[in-house]
Amino acid sequence: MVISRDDFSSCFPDIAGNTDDGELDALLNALALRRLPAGENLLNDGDLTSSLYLVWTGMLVAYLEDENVSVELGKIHPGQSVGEISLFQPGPATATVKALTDCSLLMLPKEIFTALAREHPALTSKLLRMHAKMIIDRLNAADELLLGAEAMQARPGGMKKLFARIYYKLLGYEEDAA
Amino acid sequence: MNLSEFLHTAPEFSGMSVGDIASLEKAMMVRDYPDGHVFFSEGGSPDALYLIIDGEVAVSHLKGEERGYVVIKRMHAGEFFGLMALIDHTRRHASCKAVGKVRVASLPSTAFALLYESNSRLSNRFQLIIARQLARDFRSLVTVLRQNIFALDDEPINTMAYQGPERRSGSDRRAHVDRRKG
Repeated sequence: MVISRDDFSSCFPDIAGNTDDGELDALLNALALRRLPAGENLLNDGDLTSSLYLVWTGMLVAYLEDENVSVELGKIHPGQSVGEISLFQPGPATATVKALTDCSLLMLPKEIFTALAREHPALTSKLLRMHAKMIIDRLNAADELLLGAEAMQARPGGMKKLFARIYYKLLGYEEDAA
Repeated sequence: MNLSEFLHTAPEFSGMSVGDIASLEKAMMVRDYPDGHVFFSEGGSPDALYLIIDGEVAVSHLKGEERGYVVIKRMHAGEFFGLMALIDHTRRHASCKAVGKVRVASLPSTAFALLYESNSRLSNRFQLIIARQLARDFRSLVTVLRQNIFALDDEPINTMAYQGPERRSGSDRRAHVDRRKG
C-alpha cells in the first residue's frame, strides 16, 4: 500500500489512535486498494460478503432492496467503513452499496485478517475490541431510537422512516440523509 | 455435558486450541440453576459473563411501569449472556432468568477483563468469539428491522417478544421490534 501513516490517520483517526506505528504499518501493508467507478455496486444486498472496506475517497449510497422495493438509507463518505460485521462473521450483505462518484476503498478480506491475527495478534486484538465496542454502541443507539418508536406510530409513514433510520444508524453512518 | 466436552464440541469454540480451552475452563465455574433463577437484574453491576451449556435463559427489559418486564430474547446453549455491560463498563442493560433447569458456566468479571483486555493469542481467539456473538446479535436486529421496513405500511408497531430469526415459525416472522441485550 502506498498510503502514508499520516494520510491514513487523518482519514481514520479511531483506528490510528488505537494502534502503534508498527501495528499501523502492518495494517497498511495488509490493506488492498480497490477502485470503484461511479455507478458500480460495491455490495449487493443479501450477497455473501466477508471483507471490510474503508472508504478512502468518493461517495457511496446504501439502500435496501427487496423484490420490487428499494429503500435508500443514506450516503457513505470517506472515513466511514462498510462490511465491518462480515469481517469476523461472514454473511449476507446488509445493504446494497453503490458508488455515486468514482471511489477508492481500502479492502481487508477475512483471510488477510486471519493471517494478521497469526502474525500481529496485538493489532487484531485491538481491532476486535474496537469493533465489539462499535457494535455495542450501535446496538445501544438503535435501542434508544426503538424506545421512541411508539411516539412515531401516529405519524403517517413514521414507523417505516424510523426503522430505516435505525437501520442506517446500525450500519454506522451519520443521520444526514437517512 | 461437562464444560470441557462442551468447549471441545461447540462450533463457537472451534478456533480454540486444546491449551486455550484448558485455560478458559480453569477460569470458569459450572453450576446447575433451577427454573426461575435470576442471574442478574437490569441496572445491576456486572460481575460475570455467562455461557449457557444446556437449557434456556430469558432476557427481559423493563418497558415502563405499565408494561413491566418484557421478554425480548431467549438464549440457548453456546450463547453468552451478560456481555454488553462488561465490555461497555456500564450497568446491566437487561435482566436474565432461567427458563426451566439450566446449566451455565460463569466467568468472573475480573477474569473476563484479564482475558478480554489482553493482546495475547488466547485473548485474540476469545475476542473473536465475543465479536462473533455480537455480530450475530447485530444480524438478528438487522433481520428484524428489514422485515419491518419492507412489511410496514404505516402499521402500528408490534411489540411481541423477539426470539431470534432461527427459532421463529413462519407465522412469527414479521414485525418483531423489541430486541435483546445481555
